[in-house]
Amino acid sequence: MSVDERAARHRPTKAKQRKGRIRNTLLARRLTQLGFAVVIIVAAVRHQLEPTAGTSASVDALCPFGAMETLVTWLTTGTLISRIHPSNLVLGGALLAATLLAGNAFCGWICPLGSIQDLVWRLGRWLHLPELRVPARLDTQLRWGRFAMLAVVIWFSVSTAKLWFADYDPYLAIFGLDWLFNPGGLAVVGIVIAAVVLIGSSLVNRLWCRYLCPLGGVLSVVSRFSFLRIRRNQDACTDCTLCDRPCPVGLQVSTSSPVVSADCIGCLDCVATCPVKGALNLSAPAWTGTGKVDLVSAGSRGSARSRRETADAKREGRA
Amino acid sequence: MKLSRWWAPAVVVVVMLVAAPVGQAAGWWSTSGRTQVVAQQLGVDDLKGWMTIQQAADGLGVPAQRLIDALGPEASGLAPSTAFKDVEAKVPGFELSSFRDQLREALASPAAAEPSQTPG
Repeated sequence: MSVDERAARHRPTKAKQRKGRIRNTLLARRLTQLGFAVVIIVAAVRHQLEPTAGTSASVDALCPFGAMETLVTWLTTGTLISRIHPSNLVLGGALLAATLLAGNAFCGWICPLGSIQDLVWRLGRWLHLPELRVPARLDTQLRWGRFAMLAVVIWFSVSTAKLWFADYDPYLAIFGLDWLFNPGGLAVVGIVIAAVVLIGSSLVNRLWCRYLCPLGGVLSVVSRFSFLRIRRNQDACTDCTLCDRPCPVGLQVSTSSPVVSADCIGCLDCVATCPVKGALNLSAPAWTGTGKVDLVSAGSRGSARSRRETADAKREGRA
Repeated sequence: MKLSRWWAPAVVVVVMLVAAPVGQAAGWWSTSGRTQVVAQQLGVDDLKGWMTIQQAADGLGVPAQRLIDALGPEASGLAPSTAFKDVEAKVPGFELSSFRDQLREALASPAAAEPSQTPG
């Protein structure tokens, strides 16, 4: 056997390459989520155990949403609402800049509340809990809940000039660690909301992100103007719908034309799952020229080879 | 030019990670609104939730007991080291904003001229 033949035998098949792509994407995302969650938990523990009040950052000082909560007050009066600090403005500004540049990957890769929902979702599958499928029409309507929540939070933050949402915020209820260090000072409503969100997320993946997260609402608007976005090449796509299956927020990626919904959380699971090269890509707008090459490399719509690869991938998925 | 899928998360993660050091270098980064309380240099409107009753008393130049009295009968057992944010949990109906108004009136009386009695 020649060296070339031996190398060809050991070369991974398309299916193995695809599996590896999915595994690597998921692993990278989980490690990143874990890293940021650890940073927040360490900050919360330090804040709870600090000998002198004010020497370490609280978890609300490390949340970019604080910038949105104080924005109106800051712009109109030049002051910040109580419990909001310049760190919130720095993180909020950085998040908006990053989202404009590369899309909304914050929700999928960084947000600790998203990470814990992913964990609870996995736990639900492990426990064989039923997966609730929200009808498409209801799903579309419920997604407006993020904007309703955003309007309520901003209204009360401005009118009370304090961090009104703190008593209801599941992120603070979970990661503030008051339930561990200071159970007497717990905001009961916040804990109840957090419990409902976590239980709900075991039945509907990323329940909070889909329907209620006010920061998600802001980012879904901003990401409409993002430079980099996931785009579907309609000429290359074989409409296999494999990309719809892993989406944590239940988007119909297979019907994107061509840009994937602004509700995308940038997890990249759809891109890694796609069996057809060039059908689903992270790319800049067509005017930059990056889209052209994708079209050329993708080949014609539903070519025999693409269809064969898709059928193989679907068979594997069933197995 | 074909873009790798890793660009999106990489850019967002890097930007979020460098935000704090860049903010610190620029002098914009602060995770607390707490400042040093200078004796007799505070106004009633400067009172914050993180301040203890004693810090507020020192800043306003009045005895801590006077502030405790102004908080009402439910606050009689409070220690001067209690922060205003914790008073909310111990005195029903306490709100710092309305306490400021109440205190403004209370301090207008002659007893406010008494010197501060800082322990230790």
